[in-house]
Amino acid sequence: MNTLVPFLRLDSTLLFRNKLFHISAIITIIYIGLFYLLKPLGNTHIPLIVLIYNDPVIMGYMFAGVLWLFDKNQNTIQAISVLPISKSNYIISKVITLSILAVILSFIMALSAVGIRFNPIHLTISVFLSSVMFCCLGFIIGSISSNFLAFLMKSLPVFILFATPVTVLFDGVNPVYFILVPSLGSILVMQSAFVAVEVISIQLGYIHMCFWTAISIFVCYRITIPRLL
Amino acid sequence: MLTVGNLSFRYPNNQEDTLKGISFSIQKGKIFGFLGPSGSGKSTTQKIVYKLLKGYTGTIIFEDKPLPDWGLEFYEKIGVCFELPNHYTKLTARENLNFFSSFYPIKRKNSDYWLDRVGLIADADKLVSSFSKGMKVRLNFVRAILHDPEVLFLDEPTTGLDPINAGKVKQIIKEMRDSGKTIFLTTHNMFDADQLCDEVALLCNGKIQALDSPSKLKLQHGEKKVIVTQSGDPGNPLTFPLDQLGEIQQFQSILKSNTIETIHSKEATLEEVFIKLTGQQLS
Repeated sequence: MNTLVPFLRLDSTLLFRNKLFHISAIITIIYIGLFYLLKPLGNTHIPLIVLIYNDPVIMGYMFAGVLWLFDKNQNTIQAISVLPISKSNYIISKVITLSILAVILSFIMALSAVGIRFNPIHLTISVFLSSVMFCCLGFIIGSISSNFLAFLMKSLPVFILFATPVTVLFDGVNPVYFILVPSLGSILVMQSAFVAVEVISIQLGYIHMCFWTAISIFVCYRITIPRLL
Repeated sequence: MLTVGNLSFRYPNNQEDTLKGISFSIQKGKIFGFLGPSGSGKSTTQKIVYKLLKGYTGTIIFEDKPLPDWGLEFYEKIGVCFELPNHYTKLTARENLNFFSSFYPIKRKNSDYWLDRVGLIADADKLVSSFSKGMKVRLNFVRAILHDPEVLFLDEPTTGLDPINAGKVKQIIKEMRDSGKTIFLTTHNMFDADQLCDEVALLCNGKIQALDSPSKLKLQHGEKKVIVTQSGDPGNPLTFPLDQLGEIQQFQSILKSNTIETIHSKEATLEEVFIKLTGQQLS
């Protein structure tokens, strides 16, 4: 834990100095403006869930990959590899920092769109765990990419695949069709934060989300951590 | 302090071993130099010794304990100065040093002391992105020594430095040696190796071709000569073998002619020894 604190401090500073924090803030402000425009049309739940899923959750994926590539280009990964610390702290701190940022931004978006009419527990857990999953995915793809262009090229199919469960937000689409897509659970739990859904759907969402988050952490440890050494 | 025995290593997908059974030993309080051209296996050896590369064969003993038995505490005992600068360019020099030093329990001298020693104190609060290559190299060096390591691994520590700053870095290296630290230096700069090292290993194609002190290697493998320039023909110095000087008629007659402009003995350089032993240039 003692060695995690300097990393958390570093990552917060780097998010700020690399302007990633600013980018998140600007996008969130744009979304808030969008919610105000959509409010007169009635139901803002679906666009709200889609936008929270898209940013800040997926943004964690991009930022994790970008931070990895920054560190790789600056050779700082090499310097970290000879520190007397567990190498996993490097990953853990970035995942925690990005996921906390994701939760904060999602709350700002939710409050501006629907006021306090949402379940904060479902929102916090779904955004945090989804962000953890996407950050791990960002590290995995980043660590097997030689540069940012290669990272973007590999990200495209990931985004397409992970976006498909968004369709369950529309009536008549059975979630079971997307049972093998890792992001299904995130969407279901996020949905339950804003609208009343069946208990079975929430249960499925939590189990699915926890399972795939655990898988993504495991794969990240197997693929990314060895590249730190 | 460090003993390497019959070390071999092959990178994945390579047809040939990069290291072919090298053996050496580094005594505490000594500077050991690995001298060789690019691709000879110098950096690979260092990376194996500080546990960044696995899959080698042979034995490595550090402080009487096999290297694989060492845990994270191994990294508290060593400092590594990589050839390429590795800092967060969006942080200042001081922020970088504070971050990296925060993981070590021992900090005998603060970062300002070392920044001052390498001439970077005035730039301590500037972003590293604004640093020249030489400044980054000096900062790299400070990062490696800040936690007062017992063993220091230096990979081309003066590359990109002007003579004055290279001198500052070399002075600190010598002081560290004098205070009992062990230093493992890899370089293709024979001048640095000659100036700094107590012992050097000449590495070529993954094999150690010779291992001894620089002075012994030069005496053993170099030619001792006397070079004379005459006032009438300063552009064409004459070279005579030192050990037969008294018997060479031409040299005797030049002495008597009173036309000598300069006369000096010349010992071999490490580079000449290296070329003689390996048939390859250092750089």
